Amino acid sequence: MSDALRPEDAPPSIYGPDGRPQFFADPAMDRFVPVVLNLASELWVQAETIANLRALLEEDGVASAERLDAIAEASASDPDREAALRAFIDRIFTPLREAPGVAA
Amino acid sequence: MVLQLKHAMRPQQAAEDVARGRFVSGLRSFILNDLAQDMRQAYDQRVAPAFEKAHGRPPESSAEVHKAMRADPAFKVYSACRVRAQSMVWDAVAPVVQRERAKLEAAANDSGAAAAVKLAPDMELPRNVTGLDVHLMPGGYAGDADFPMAAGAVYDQGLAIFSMGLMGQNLDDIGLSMSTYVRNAFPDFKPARILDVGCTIGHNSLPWKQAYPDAEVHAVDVAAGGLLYGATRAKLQGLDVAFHQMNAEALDFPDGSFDLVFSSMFLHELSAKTRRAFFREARRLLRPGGLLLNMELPPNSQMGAFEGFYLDWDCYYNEEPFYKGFRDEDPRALCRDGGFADEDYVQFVTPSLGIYGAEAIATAAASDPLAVNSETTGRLAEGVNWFGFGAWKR
Repeated sequence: MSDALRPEDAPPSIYGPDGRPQFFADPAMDRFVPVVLNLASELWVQAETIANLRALLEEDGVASAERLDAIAEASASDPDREAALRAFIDRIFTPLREAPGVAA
Repeated sequence: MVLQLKHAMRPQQAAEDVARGRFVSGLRSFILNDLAQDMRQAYDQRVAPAFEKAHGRPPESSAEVHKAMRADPAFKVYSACRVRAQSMVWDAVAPVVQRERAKLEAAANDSGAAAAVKLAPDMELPRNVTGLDVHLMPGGYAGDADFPMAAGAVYDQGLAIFSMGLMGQNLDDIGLSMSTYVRNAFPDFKPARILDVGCTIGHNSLPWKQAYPDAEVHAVDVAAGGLLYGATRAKLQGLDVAFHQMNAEALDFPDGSFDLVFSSMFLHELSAKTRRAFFREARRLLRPGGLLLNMELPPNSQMGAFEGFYLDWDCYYNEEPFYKGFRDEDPRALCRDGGFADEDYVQFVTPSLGIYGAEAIATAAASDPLAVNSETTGRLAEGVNWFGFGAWKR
């Protein structure tokens, strides 16, 4: 938020040096709360994806635990899976990063 | 619940988009219900008694409650979660909008909306548009110059998640409810020309065309991206509304050219100076017998200190810096400062059309206007009701 466009009566202490709202005495906590929510979001997306897939597999009569295990094993050295993991980590843990231009 | 938009500009969502949107909507519901209830309990049981012990009286204003609540863990948890959940709304839809860029731009061109919308590329945008990521939406209403429609599409799709299904099938419940109330409360009022100011994507402009099909409806905003998207959205819904890029402080229409000047959730996004200029403009634009009607947040003077604090939270943490300043103002005085007579002031609370139906609105319109307070409107009120105020021009 731009300094000039903050509410006139906003105490400066309610924002951190990066301009974001600061709620906890230890600013690190303000970074961890988003991580927890991000994790919950990712977990739900996966849960819903699995539920959709399971419904499809059951509907088509092709569900097979053995086949799924084999696919997982084959993915161990899959670069696409590695890239997906990196994107996953970025999506969740970006709030932990220092804002650009803010000294540690 | 997460709302699936019903209009033709709705996105083609992948399974992951649906899941992500559903999660954020559910998370917001948890924060705004469960965590908000914890915060109220913390106030009643810890914060207010401690304040009273220290000051010999309970907190009397929104600002006093805010200051006292800042140290309480329930406030910290609620606030930190709510800020992140707000950003997650936009994070959930921005990739969908980028993916659909070609489709959106083709729709704007093919529908004729891009040619019809009256943009003012040389207009200087006000700082409340360029200087804010309003509602924590990256880029705010100004959006991305390279893909102007994105701001409108992100707003539309984000609001669908944000609203938790409480703002209508096409996010038009405010306009639908207000126009239904006006038709019932003022049956002799037949506006021929209607203006919606600060329309964003025109989601609450369109209901006026539906309520008064013979009327000429105009919708204005300063942000081009929302207008281009909104004009396309209107065209594809088969509704003839003219969209213009204009500043509410100086609207480029002749004196006495409208019967109804409307705004919704607009005034709290303006500085006090711009707000006053808009009221003067509204009066100038109205014909004798015309009505200025604003749907807005209820004023602080008509709420308890805690309820006021609860609404004012957005001012400090949701990039809406003028929110509390507006809510501290007296709606009647705003109209008076704009040149309207006190005896011509109107205010009411209307039930949501989508939730309670037309009959409930007809009943409300036939009764004395409801008192505007925390029992009848605002985020902590029971149910969904919308507050309207304004004035007739003699």
